[in-house]
Amino acid sequence: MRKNKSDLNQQSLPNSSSEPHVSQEDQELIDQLMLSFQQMDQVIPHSTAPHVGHLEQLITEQKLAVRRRNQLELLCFFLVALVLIGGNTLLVMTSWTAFGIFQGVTLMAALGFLFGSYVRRKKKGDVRHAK
Amino acid sequence: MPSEYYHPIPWWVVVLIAIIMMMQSFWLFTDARRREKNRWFWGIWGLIQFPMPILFYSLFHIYLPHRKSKSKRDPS
Repeated sequence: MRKNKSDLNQQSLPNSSSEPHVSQEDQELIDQLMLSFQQMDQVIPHSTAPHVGHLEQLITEQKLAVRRRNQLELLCFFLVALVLIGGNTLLVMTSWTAFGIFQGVTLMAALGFLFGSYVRRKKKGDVRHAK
Repeated sequence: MPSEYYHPIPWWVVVLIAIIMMMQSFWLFTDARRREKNRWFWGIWGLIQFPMPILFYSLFHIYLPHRKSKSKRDPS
């Protein structure tokens, strides 16, 4: 079997160096393929590389959108800040006890949230090194 | 409102505390947004208390990661 393969290779070598022989059937297939390629070229528009100016404009638009979103978020945060600071001031003027309880509960909740997120991150596996 | 249920605070104290809270919470909010670390949590906590949020934020998101990366760079 191995011998046969090597014989075949030796026979094919001189053929590969000379002009390849194409049968009539193969030629028809190649012609058909080339015709199809030409038709495909006509149907599919040629993709051209995007212009640098267009890309720069896209980047500028994206930056502007991000900045606008950040400003809106900051405005929302400012409104929340007004409500919270106003509420806290009212609370401290009304009752020191209620204010103290609120502060204690907030501290406990915040520490609980921090601890919980730390435990969750540990369970999940800290993959910061992979970044 | 009866006087025993109302404890007036000087206006300048209220303004001073409000400014401190605002500055702290805005810094926490923007920095946490930059580092992608629960910006609303840090911002809202920064509006309620001082100086616990800024201390914990500095510890958890600035000091400890900095020390960790430093020890990774220089193991000795």
